[in-house]
Amino acid sequence: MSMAALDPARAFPQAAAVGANGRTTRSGQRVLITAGLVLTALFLVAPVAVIFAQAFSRGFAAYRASIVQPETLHAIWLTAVTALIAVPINMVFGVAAAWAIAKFRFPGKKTLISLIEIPFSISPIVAGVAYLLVYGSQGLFGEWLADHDIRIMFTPAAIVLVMLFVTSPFVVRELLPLMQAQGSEQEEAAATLGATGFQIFRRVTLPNIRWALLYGTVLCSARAIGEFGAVSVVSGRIRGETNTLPLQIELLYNDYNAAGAFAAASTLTVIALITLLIKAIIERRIGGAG
Amino acid sequence: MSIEIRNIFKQFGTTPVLKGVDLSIADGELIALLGASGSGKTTLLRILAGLDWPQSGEVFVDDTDWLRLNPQERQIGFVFQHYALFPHMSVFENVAFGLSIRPRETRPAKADIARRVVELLDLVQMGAYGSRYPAQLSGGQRQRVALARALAIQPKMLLLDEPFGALDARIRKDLRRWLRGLHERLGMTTIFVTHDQEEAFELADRVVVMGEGVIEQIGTPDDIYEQPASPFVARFLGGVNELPAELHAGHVHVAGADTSRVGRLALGDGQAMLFVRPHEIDLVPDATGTAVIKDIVPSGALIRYEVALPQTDKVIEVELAREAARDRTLTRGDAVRVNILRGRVFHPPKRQPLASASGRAGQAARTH
Ligand SMILES: Nc1ncnc2c1ncn2[C@@H]1O[C@H](COP(=O)(O)OP(=O)(O)O)[C@@H](O)[C@H]1O
Ligand SMILES: [Mg+2]
Repeated sequence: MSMAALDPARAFPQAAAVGANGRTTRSGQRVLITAGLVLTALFLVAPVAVIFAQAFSRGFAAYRASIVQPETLHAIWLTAVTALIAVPINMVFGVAAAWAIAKFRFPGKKTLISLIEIPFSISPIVAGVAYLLVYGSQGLFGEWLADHDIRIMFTPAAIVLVMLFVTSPFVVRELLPLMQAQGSEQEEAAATLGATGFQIFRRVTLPNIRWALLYGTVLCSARAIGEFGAVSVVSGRIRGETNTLPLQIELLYNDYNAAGAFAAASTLTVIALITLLIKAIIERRIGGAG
Repeated sequence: MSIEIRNIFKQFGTTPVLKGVDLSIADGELIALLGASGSGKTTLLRILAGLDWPQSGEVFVDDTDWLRLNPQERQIGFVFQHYALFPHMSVFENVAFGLSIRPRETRPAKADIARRVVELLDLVQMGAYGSRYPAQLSGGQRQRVALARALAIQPKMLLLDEPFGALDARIRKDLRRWLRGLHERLGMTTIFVTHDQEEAFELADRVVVMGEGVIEQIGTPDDIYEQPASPFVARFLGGVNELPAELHAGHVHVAGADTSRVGRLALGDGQAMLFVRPHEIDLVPDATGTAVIKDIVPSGALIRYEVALPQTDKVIEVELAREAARDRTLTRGDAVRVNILRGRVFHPPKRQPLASASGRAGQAARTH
């Protein structure tokens, strides 16, 4: 230990990395890598392991019972349905916005680019409160909505709305740099060959962006499914009705139903791990395709 | 198709890029747009293709108002400078694209499309590469695939943007000859953009020399070489000596050089510039001569001399054929007489009020 403290290469791994001496460089690297692994184990692997350990602590039968409990099943179903509505809408929005920004020049383009980023910089809970203030019964459109017998707040519709808001930047952000780098020459070539706007999009643009689109969609889905703050405000948290999976987990946990909470959490974790896997595969494809 | 371009103005933002372009092209002509980078060649080509629109001006193709048509309706073959092949399609699919996207009523049968694609790939000598992807091809091969793709829709007009720009010298020469042959065979009106005068002169029926957004001269390669219309064109063609001269009674005089072989000119008296190419000058060994050889650079069939003229101390470039050089046995430091055999006289640009100064500098007269 004292040796390590005395060796400047160990104390300052960055300095060692640029040092000419290969041996100190390598030991510097080893320290960094070890530190990285320890941190990963502490902050990433351990919590995930604990989730599964807790979920299965009373055996598989108990785990199954926790999952098939009606409220939890409903939460899983609701989460899936709302995400299945929100994600495709944001795919379309993302492609349209990236296409417009990358391929055309129009006034207000810079503003649009910064507007798209807003959901990333606003806390989801603020977004939830904002939607409440606009569409809630006391809100801006509250009276008009009530007159027309439309209820948005505390229904799945509200969940879809905030999911849309929170996850809207993902697809655009993946597509825009790619489409800007590709320029419009291929599209122009297709046009001179007689392709209509839709044919150009379908046969030239879309194939060129498919992996980035899939990547953005995966990130978007993961975020939509896991969203807590905004959904918790606008859903009304009605048991067995408007609770999505993350809300259900919190509810079970607050009920001192640790096994149930962890079982539900394990499903969310599995989804996250699958997302990670798909993401890694796509990243390899993008890297390989150039 | 004959093309009639009238008074085209185009600006991007506040930057004018084409400042009144007029050009008539006859059916079946092979035209080179020759100009320095940034002179607006690509922009003019894109306007013809329907990829850009001018602020004002007209284009008629066989009496059709061309600017009313969108690119899909124009049926032109456009080959982009960087080819713009579809990377996710094979060579075959790239070439088939234009036919396979046609609406059902006009789309040829699959087998017919395949036959046509094979024909085209053979035509561009890429028959063996149909299943490759663009990323697996060399620059010259991509170029030819792009051409085959453009030809697939049987365009009436072929537009090529710097078709050989990104290729190395040897392939350029081969492709150039090959394209000339292809044009003779297919006979469609063809416009290609280049910044390489050799390319333009070797390939084109007529060459259009472009300056900053204006056409400086239109003519056959011979016309342009023999009679550059302006100092701009003469300079653009490169390697020219610009000598201050004095016009007097139809004769041109250059200090320190013999201009008696330069014929009489129908021009008034006054100051002028004489533009002389290096090979239009002869050097005669003469101990009493006032010009001095500063340097000798042999370059293949030609020997290049740098010669200092007396009084003005101006250094001119002279090229003699190796044979002629052998007869004259000149060495560095020798005194010589400078014989100007031919040249073009341009009036010095008159001082003009502000804006119009960038136009044609003066009228030209060829001399013999
Ligand atoms: N889309 C564009 N936006 C702004 N300026 C452009 C655009 N396209 C071309 N220009 C400008 O117009 C001028 C002529 O361009 P271009 O037609 O490409 O010239 P060339 O092909 O002769 O090199 C250049 O100064 C270029 O910067
Ligand atoms: Mg260009």
